[in-house]
Amino acid sequence: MWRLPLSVFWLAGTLLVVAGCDTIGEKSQSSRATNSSAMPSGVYDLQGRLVDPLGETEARAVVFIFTRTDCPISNRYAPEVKRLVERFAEQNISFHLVYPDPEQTTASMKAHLAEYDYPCDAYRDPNHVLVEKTGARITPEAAVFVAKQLVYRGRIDNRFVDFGQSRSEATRHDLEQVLQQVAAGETVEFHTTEAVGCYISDLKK
Amino acid sequence: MRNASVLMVAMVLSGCGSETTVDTDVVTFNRDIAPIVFDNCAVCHRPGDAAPFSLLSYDDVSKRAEQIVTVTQSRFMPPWLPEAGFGEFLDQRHLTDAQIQIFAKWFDVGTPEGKPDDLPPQPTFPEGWQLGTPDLIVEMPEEYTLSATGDDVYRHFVLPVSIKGERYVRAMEFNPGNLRIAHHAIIKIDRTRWSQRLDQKDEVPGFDGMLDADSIQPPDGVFCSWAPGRTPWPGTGDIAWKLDGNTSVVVQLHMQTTGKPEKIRSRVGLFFADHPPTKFPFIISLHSYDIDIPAGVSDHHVTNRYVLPIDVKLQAISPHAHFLAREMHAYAEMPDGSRQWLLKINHWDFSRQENYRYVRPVSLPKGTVVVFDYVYDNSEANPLNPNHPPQRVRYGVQSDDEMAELWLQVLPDSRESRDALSADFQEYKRKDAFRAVLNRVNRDPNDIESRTSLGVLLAVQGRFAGAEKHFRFVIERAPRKIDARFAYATMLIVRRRFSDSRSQLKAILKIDPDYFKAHGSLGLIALQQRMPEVAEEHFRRCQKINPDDTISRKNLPISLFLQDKLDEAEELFRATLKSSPDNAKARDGLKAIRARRREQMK
Repeated sequence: MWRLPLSVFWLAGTLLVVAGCDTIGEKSQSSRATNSSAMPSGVYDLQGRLVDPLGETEARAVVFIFTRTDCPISNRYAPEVKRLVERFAEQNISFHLVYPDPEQTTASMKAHLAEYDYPCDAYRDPNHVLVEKTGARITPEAAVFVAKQLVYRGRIDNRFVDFGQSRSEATRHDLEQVLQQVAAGETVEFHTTEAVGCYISDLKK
Repeated sequence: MRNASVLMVAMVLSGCGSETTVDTDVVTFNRDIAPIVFDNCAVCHRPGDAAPFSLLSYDDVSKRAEQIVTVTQSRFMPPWLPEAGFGEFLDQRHLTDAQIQIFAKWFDVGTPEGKPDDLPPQPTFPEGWQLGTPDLIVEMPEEYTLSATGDDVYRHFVLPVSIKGERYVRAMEFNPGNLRIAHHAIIKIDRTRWSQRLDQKDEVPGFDGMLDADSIQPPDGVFCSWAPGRTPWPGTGDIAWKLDGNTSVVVQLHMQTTGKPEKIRSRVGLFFADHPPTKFPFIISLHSYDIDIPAGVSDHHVTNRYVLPIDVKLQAISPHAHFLAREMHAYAEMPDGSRQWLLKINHWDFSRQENYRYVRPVSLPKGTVVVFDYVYDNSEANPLNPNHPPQRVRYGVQSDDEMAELWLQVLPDSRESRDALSADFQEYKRKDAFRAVLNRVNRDPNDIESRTSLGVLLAVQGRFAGAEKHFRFVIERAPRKIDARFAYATMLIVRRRFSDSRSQLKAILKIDPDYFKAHGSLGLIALQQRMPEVAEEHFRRCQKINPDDTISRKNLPISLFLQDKLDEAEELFRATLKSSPDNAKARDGLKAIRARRREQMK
């Protein structure tokens, strides 16, 4: 049987160890937070408590709006989200913002909610649990659950065509239409639309 | 055996190599991405500047890696409309194809950070005024509040100047005050008080950004615009424009809502020249007044041209159109038959208007034909089409009309050649406007605006019968259309049909009692008919509404003189001479008063 000389083994082993050290060294040079990977997987409220976003609820529909504090398109939608929350307040439809950025602090999220006058609560999703469950890719993007089933995922409306390109007014209000159907007791067929905004995938867990 | 060992070692070594930072083919942030981002992006993507997030560190950039790939490939970022290779401009921010590919490669390999030693130093940027301490700073008198939501806002703000005597301005620097909402700005001046009066019409600072006035112009042939990340032009010292206390700086500001209410209070820094200008630029503004884009057409061309009567150096260029424009081509057909590209934009963006200043002025000899050719998409497939379904779109200043303009800042060799250019260009404008308006009326005989314009143009040419036909058509169908009535009334004065003119002017004042020009014209008629006391009353009412009106200012002292109210007449003539010492009519007026006094003493 052919056998490598011992010295070559030693050399290869040393090189592998050196390679491993350098890779670790690269990671430690990065200032990326590693805390989130140490936390148990889950979704949290802004008080740091683990929550079950799709747990038992009396709401007829649960709406998640994925957002970031520094996404200009998300922020421009704040008044529209507020309008929808207020419009459907009496219809037993609950709204929750979801922040998928693992590096942002809850303090900055609370400040963001106040700054943009959001009338609803918010969750942190640092491990992208809800992101993966809904298939959300963009901020802002909406996901609607009825009886724990996803019935819609996509844009809030079609005002934004592309980065830097927007209509003066939306001609399709996709999220509002879904919620109107829910409020009217109609069945919503599952469908999706393309949202425009920042990529959630860039926010590595 | 030995060869196999060497091969094994080589395989192991190469396997390890790809996991270390020794491999120089792997794109890293520190070595490859940071230089591009620091040079092209950081100027706006830093705290306190225009962009909503920073791009100054590995964390900042890797958190947006895929987004950066997308926006650089679409050339949405960095924001720069002109195509490379069709004009060399100051401040151009254009990534090469190779640079764009580097972002994609970096994303594909998992956005590694790289060796610390490879990282270039953090870029630094000047704080405060970039051109140095201004000689004078003018400011919006009060804050403007932009609401949380809604379409983009275009608004004129009036920044009054407080200065004794006069100075010459060689450069202006715009300081938006709120970089998050200011998207671009065009800075002009108004040497009358017209802008201030528009501003004061209501409580809200400024006035509608789509409203225009003849008195609001780029100062003496000099463009000034602002966009995020651009360097203000320091000027050349030999080009400068006069500033005095009667001037207002007028900023047309484009703002975008952010999702929460925002406040803004902008300033302009003015930098003075040591001496009056020795070079005199001129702005050639080419237009198309008979734009007519059928609904559904996706590649409609609009074009116009002008033959240069003198040699010029082209210093800066500025195109303009509204939402449907897609491509813009501007070029010069040189006397030798060659074509020199001046500007090419493949994806026009209405929200990114600015003027582009050439790195080296372009020499355009006498006989050069300057051409613009714009392409418009009025189809349903154009998501920016304001009309669904698409509608016929014509020339107009509102944002759902269309425009096609090309502004060129040129420098003639001398003052004399500038005067020659100015005269030639005025003649060209007159003929071009006439051709365009005639087209419009032939296409749409019921188009009120076009028929009013045609009436005016015919009257100016002395073709009174034709003009009268159009004015009467318009007044019958649109009795409240003041500009048509006023143009008609003016023509009637020239024809000495004073009674007919008076009834038009009185009808105007019933519709709009503040239409000061009607009072001015009624005063002139009264003077012609030797009724100076009636003339005085009209001129005073005109002055009350608009103290800057020249007709009433010139003629009020005459009406007083004719009533022997010599003291007041003298006071007014002297006031005119104080601000314009060369005013011959005022000097003649004083002479006439002295003669009259001598007569009275006899």
